[in-house]
Parts: sequence; C-alpha cells; structure tokens
Amino acid sequence: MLIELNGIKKYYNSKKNRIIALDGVDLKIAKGELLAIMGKSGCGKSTLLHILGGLTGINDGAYRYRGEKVDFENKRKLAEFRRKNVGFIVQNFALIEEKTVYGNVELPLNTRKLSKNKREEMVYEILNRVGLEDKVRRYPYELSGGEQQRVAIARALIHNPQLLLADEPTGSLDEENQRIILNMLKEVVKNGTTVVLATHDIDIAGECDRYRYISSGKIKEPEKI
Amino acid sequence: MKHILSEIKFSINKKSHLTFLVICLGMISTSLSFFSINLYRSSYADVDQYHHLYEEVRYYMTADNFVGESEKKFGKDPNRYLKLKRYNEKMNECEDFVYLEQYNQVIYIKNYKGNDKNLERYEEGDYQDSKNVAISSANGTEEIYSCVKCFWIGLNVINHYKLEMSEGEAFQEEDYVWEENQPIKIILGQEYKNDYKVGDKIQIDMIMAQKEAIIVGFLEEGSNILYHSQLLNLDRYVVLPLSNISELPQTDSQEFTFWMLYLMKNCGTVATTLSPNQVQDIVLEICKELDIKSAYYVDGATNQQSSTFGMNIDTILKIIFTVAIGILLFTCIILTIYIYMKIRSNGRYYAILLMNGFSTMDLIWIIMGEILFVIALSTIGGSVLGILLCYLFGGRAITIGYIFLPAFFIAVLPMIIAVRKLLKTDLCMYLREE
Repeated sequence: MLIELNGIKKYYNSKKNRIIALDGVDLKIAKGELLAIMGKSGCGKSTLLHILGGLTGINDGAYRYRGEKVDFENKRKLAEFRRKNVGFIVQNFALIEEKTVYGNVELPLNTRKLSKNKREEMVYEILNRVGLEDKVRRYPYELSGGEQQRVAIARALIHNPQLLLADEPTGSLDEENQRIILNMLKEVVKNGTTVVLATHDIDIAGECDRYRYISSGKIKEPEKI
Repeated sequence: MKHILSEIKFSINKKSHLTFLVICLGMISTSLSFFSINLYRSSYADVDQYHHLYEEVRYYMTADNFVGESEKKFGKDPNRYLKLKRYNEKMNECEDFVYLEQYNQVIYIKNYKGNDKNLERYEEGDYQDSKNVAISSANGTEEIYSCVKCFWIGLNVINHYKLEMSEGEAFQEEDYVWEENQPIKIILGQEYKNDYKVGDKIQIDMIMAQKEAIIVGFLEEGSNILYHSQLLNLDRYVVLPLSNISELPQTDSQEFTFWMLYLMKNCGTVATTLSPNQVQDIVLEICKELDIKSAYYVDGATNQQSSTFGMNIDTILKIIFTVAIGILLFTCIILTIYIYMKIRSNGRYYAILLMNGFSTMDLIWIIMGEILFVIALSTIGGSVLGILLCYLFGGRAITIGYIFLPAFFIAVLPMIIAVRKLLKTDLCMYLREE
C-alpha cells in the first residue's frame, strides 16, 4: 500500500462551535491507483486531500505513506514530504496571475538545487507533454480554462511526484476539456503515479478504478466499479 | 535561499506602487524621527552640560536706562566714569549673586578669511552688507573689513560655563586689562578652525577702537553660554575679553573707549537663587549709593525658561522626544497595517507556494524579507534626509547610529504581527472552490 489512513479526525474550531470535517476516516490507497473521493459540497473531500498532501494537520489518527508515519508536527519534514512526493491540482487552477506559464510551472523546481538550464529543460519538456510549449511566455489570464488546468497539471507533475491530488479538477471546465483533463490523469496513472481525485460528479467517478464516498465525516464502504 | 529571494522580489513587485508609497512614508517618518532624536540628543547634550546652571540658579539680564534725557543728564555728570567703574566693581563684589559680564557686540575684521556663516546677520539671510565694509583707518585711508559675530566676556564667564578650549588657551587674568596701544587677545569659535590658527594676528575694528588682535585659542565645538534666556552657541563667534580699565580716562578717545567698555560691562547677567525683585532691590541700592538713581534695572528672570514658547527647556526637550517617539509609533503602525493587509490579500499566493513545496518557514522568510527591504530603503533614505534636516535646521547629527534604533523599533512589531497572522491562518481555505 502506498497510503494508509487510520482513524483520521479533523475538526475546525470556530468562535461558536467545533466543525467536524473528518470523524475517523480509514482508507487504503494502492500505488498506481486512480481513486475518486465523492461527496456533497462541504463534506470534507478537500480536507481529506489536504491531509493526504501534508498541507494541513490532523487532530487524531495516523497517516502512513509507504509504511512511514507522516509527522504533521514537523513543518520542515512536512514540506520535504510535499516537495518529493506530492503534486496538487485544484478546481480554480491556483495559478499565480502575475507569473507567466513558465514561472508557474517552474515553481516546484525553485525549492530544489537545480541549475537554470536544467529547470528550463524540465519546464519545456512537461509543457510539451501537455501540449502548451507555444504558450510558455503567456500569462494565465491569456489562456482558456482548459489550458490553465493543463498548466496546473504540468506544474503538479514537473517534479515526478508519486502522488497526484486533484480537487475537482474538471469542475470549471466544459465537457470537451473535462474529457481532455481526465485522459491526461489516466495517462499519468499509467506512468505509475497514484491519483486521488475529489469530485461530486458520478460520471467522473465512474471513469476511475474505484471510488469512496464521504458522508458525515466518514468514508463509506468501498464499492469497486 | 534563492527561491526565497526570488519570491521576496516577486511579492514586492506584486503591488509595487503600494510598496513604494510605504517606503516613501517610511523614509519621511524615519528622517523626522532621526532629526527629532538628534535634536533632542544635541540639545540635551548642550543642556546637560549646563544643567547645573538650571537646577536652582536663575539668570537675569541687567540693562541700563541711559537713553534720551537720562543719557544726556548722566553725560554731564563729572563723576560719570568713576560711577560706571564703581558700579561695575560693586556688581562684581556682591555676595548675593554671581555677576557675569557678557555682551553681544559685533566687531569688524580686516581681510576676513572665514566662512560667511560667521558674518553678522547670516542666519537672517541679509549678511551681504556684512561683507566688504569700508572703514577708515587711523591714517585716514579706507580699508575693507567684514562684520562678524562677536561676544565679549568678563573674567569669570569661562569658568562659570565650564567652557573648554580645543586648542590654545583661554584668556588669562592679565588679558582682561585694557592697554591702549597693545594688541588684544581673542578666542575663536570652532567654525573658524579651518581658516585661522593659534598665533595668527589680525586687524580688528571694535566699536571703541581699532586694534591688532592675537588669536590665543579655539573653543570646543558646541560651547554655549546663556544669553537672553537661551543657550547661545559660540561656534561662529569671535570672543573678546571685556577688559577693565584701571585709570580713569584723560583724553577724548580714552573717554569714548571707557564709556563703551563699561556700558557693555555693566549690562551683564546676574546668576542667583534670588527672585528678580530681590536682585532689583540690590541693584537699586547700589545705584542709590553711587547717586545714579534707577540707572540700571533687572530685565526679568529667565528661571529656566526659553524665550521660544515661554516654556521650560526641559519641557521643550520632552516634547521633541515625544514627537520623535510618536512619529516612530505612527510609522510602525502603518507598516504593521500594510503587512497585515498584504498577508490577507496574499493568502492564495502563499497557499500556492505551500502547495508547490515551500515550507511555512519559507513563507515567514519571504514576509520578513519584504519587511526588511522596506525598512532598509526607508532607513537609508531616511538617514540622508535626516542628516539634511539636521544640517538645515540645527540639531547636530550627533551620530548616524541613532537611525538604527528607530529602524529596529519599526521592524519588530510588524514582523511579530505578520508571523502570528500567517501561523494562525489556514491557508488551505484559499485552495478550496471559490
């Protein structure tokens, strides 16, 4: 197993009360799997993905990645974990508007000790893979929704992560671009990357190897499609 | 580290116009604060040197009533010179106060080599008439002199104000004896240092005579005396001894010299713990003894008051210091608000950085780097402006080091607030569906 979650609990404290996002989640994810996490808006899908990606901590439970416990208390190790293993794409693309396509895609490489030439080579290679090599000097606002999401995918994959987390990656796209993005994700899985995809769309979930459903902060019994 | 520097640069450029505004504000505030702190320090250094003078002692100017009819009347008194001399002696001998012979009266220097700053009416701006003044010499020829600031002092003034010499020596007791055809010794303020040296001889024209003058010393920079209720800085002054004349005058020129010298000597300053009325009573008593009724009066008490605003000098210094701290606090608050708003508006940007391998510590460094950049530019620009303000408006720039104190103070609070805000913010919320 690549990932094991045991009894994961996550809550947020507001002024008036405590909001329980996850209430004892157990989940196992195999390497090279395309897993969909389904649920209504606000059910905790994004929170689960953020935990998987080491972006947010947990209040209880354990998260094991390749058999080793992920230490949420050590921010430095968590950042290292993200840097080495995780790529993210989100519904609103999360591109930095003031940076070019090149600047956005290059971002994960800036924390590594790579030469400028090497970084440039990697950026052009990944943009080639997603079919955007001619848009390298454009800004996000000059691109369509589908193109922006492809830039986001390029950025998420440039450092060859083992785990790609996609939070509603097709939510802002038309049908044609949804298909393009989904095919890209499948291609990524074929290359050995594990993809966990959060969606509320049953059709998207149907394209995956399996899906889980979040309700009341818990994962429902697995159903293989 | 490169990735942090790169993002600091990016973040600064993100809203560069706002950053520029904050830097400008920081520069103005830092310079005003620098100026205020230096003004406070230089004024305090001056006052502190003379603080013993302020503790209990009061300073009263004295003046004569020799104007109009009373002057004419006194001018006809056959014993006038003796009375002037006796009055001076009694004021100096009085045990109830210390009598300081000090008087501000210009002189003229032939072939003047010094700075224009030392000329009479330089601060008022109309000093051009002080240059190149044609004065007739004893042999009738006209020669060119310049009118310079000059302060005349009696025997006890140097010790009373604890004036120090940076070079040469102070006046000796024998220098306070007027000798008609002998050179006079003079001391110069520090502003003359580059133009004259100890031992130089110059020709001067005083109100009562022309004489050769020998420079015997230079006062330490920042030497002050109390005159007209304020500290008078002597850096730009020539200092002459207010001499005694042992013999009564015999000739017309001697009479004029005697008259002018003793008019100056007898309009000195009284340093005492007594009230003005009590001093006035003593002066009236002396005048009565000498049958020069109401010839002299006490010009009110300074009682530690500055003639500006009528406030105690300590109070003025406290106000200056408070203003400096107020400006610092204002700048600190503005910078804190700027950084706080920036973190709020940059939440999505920081979340994206986190998502792409940056650590929380990297984000903290980026924010601190931006604060330090703003502070550094403000400090450098503010220093230059502050020094310029000190040069233009006084308050010697005692030390550039004072700029780092405000800079540190301005930086600390925003940094603390910024880091706290960042650590308390759940950046993940910026990655959720909008």
